[in-house]
Amino acid sequence: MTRMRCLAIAAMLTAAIAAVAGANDIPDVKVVDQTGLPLHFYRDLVANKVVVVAFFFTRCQDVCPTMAYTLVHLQTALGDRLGHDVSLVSVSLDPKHDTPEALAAWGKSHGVRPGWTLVTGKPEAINRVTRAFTGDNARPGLHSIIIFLVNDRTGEWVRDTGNAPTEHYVELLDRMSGGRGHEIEPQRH
Amino acid sequence: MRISRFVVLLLMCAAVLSAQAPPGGEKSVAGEWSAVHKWPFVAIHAALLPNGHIVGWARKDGVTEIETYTGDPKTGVFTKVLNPYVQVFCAGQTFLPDGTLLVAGGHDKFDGWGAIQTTLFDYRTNKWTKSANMNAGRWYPTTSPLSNGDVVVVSGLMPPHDRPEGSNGVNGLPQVWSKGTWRDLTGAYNPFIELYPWLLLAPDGTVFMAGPAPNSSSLNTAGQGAWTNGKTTKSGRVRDYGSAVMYEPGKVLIVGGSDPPLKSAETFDLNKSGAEWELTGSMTFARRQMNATILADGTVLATGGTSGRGFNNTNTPVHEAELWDPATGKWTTLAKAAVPRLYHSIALLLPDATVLNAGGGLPPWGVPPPGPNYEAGPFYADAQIFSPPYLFRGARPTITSAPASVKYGETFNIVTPDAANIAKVSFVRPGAVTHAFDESQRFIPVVPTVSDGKVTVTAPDRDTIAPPGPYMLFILSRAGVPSVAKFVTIGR
Repeated sequence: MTRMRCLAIAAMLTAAIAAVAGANDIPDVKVVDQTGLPLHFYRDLVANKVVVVAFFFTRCQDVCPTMAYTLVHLQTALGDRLGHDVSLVSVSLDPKHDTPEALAAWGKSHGVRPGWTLVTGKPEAINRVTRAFTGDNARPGLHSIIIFLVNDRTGEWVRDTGNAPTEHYVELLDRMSGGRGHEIEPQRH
Repeated sequence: MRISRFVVLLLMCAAVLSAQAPPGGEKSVAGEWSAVHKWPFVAIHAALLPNGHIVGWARKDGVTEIETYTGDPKTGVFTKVLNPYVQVFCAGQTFLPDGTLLVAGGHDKFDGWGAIQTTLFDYRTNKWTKSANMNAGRWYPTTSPLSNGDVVVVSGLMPPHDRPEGSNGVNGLPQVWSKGTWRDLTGAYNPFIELYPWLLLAPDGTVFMAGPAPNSSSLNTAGQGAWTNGKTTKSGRVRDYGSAVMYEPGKVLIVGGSDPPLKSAETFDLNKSGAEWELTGSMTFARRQMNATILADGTVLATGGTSGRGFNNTNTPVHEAELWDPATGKWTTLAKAAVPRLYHSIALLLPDATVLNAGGGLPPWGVPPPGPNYEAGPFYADAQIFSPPYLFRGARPTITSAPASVKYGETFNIVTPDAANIAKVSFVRPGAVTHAFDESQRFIPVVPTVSDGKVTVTAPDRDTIAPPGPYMLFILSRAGVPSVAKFVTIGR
């Protein structure tokens, strides 16, 4: 067994540990996307998919732009895979202000393409989503640059920093989606 | 007859309990918390000054200046000192060789709007002065002292109006402050750095980044600078709002953090080539938003934090302190604090070998930021002092005199009436703490020689082990009881 293979297995084990630790039920609440389309959060956005979930709000000027940068570049790197192999979902922490129209404007300014869904909804529904991932109700002012990578097909769930090079996420997603794995340990710097 | 039997039984129980009680009583096992002292501010940042006082501050929004407070943390009597140059909330902070506190960046009115300024607090005059501006703003940067007395600053968010087009907002260009000017480390540009990274000066002179991300790395600050990838932690988890310390030269402990919060802790030995992260004992309580403080004997005290899910779960505070012993890798649960110390709380080792635990919370902060109002939450303008168990294990040795300054590798005498009973001597660099990480503290044991009623020690011989500056010098008895420290400056 090569050293690289060992490293890959070690990385997988590490991720598996994280998956067990972070596993939680994702609610199937009613939400709405940036086009005004009603959706069920779990069955329409997560079920049987590999998905990257992040939290933001359109008026945020502190840590959200950093995570937006991450997702914009990940969207580019995913190319045609976006919406097929991997989906991106950004959930508003400010649902009272972030109407579908506000999300659409934010999406336009950030070049959001199909396969990257911006989500808002009734506060209690959004709270259930944010509680499932972060343990908190939706509210601005939480200074964590954190994103979640979920493979609903396997149940794997990785809580990761939201400020890493694009290649880091691509490698993780390749491994999680099982199709294009690299035999290297994810590195951040 | 029945009553007599009952009394005998009671006496027997009392005798058994008495026989099991440790010398020095329960406090010698669990330590003791003081009463809660009201303070005039919420200590979100705090640093121990070389005169035994602290300087600390809270937060304000919408302004470019802030009131800071300096004074004796034992009395809670503080002098208000305005920093007129910058709002230093969410800055990085560490000490220069002369004991001046360097504060890099801060809060340019609002969250995420990193300030570009560098300010210096001089404990001799109780005044703030301004130093050179950095290359751009930094909100949530970390500083680290370097072996030559310079300071490196890494990371931090730039203000939105200064972020270059296409930037992720992170100031990815580390800088070294030297004699009042900043030098860019252009070879170490990395915008994918975490906010408030855990930086620790390593024995080889590089700066080790121990987290919070699971991939550690090292920054060489020589020349244009360069990052080198390091090892991945055993947990593989992002330990955000956990903590890290260098508990012995080159030996690193990371503990807690993440969400759900972790109980686990890991060590890394920078002295060994090919070292890997290793799991050490786990705490009894999972903690996030905690503090880790190196004590006078080299053990590490975990205080505060929350064990529940979420960014700052105020429903699940951990009141118990826990003590990690590097010799055994085990944690011992200690006495319970009265006040929750979570997000924005601080802890500092004080010269009398007690630990200051203060602040925490989300105070209302004046002018609302643009966009949605950030909700205030419980906040604590108060403090408690923790007396660790070692203070209840016998008589305290005293230092009659020691040099005010020593050179690297210099052998010097410590005058004490307790020389015959001295087993250990340590240097502890004063802390400068915020957001669950102390950017200054470090522990350096030295071996004492006792003869003719004198304790003789040799100062650390390497500036990478002990960056120049003030240190608390402790002597410890054979029972492990520390003296009150004397401040000694180590330099060239």
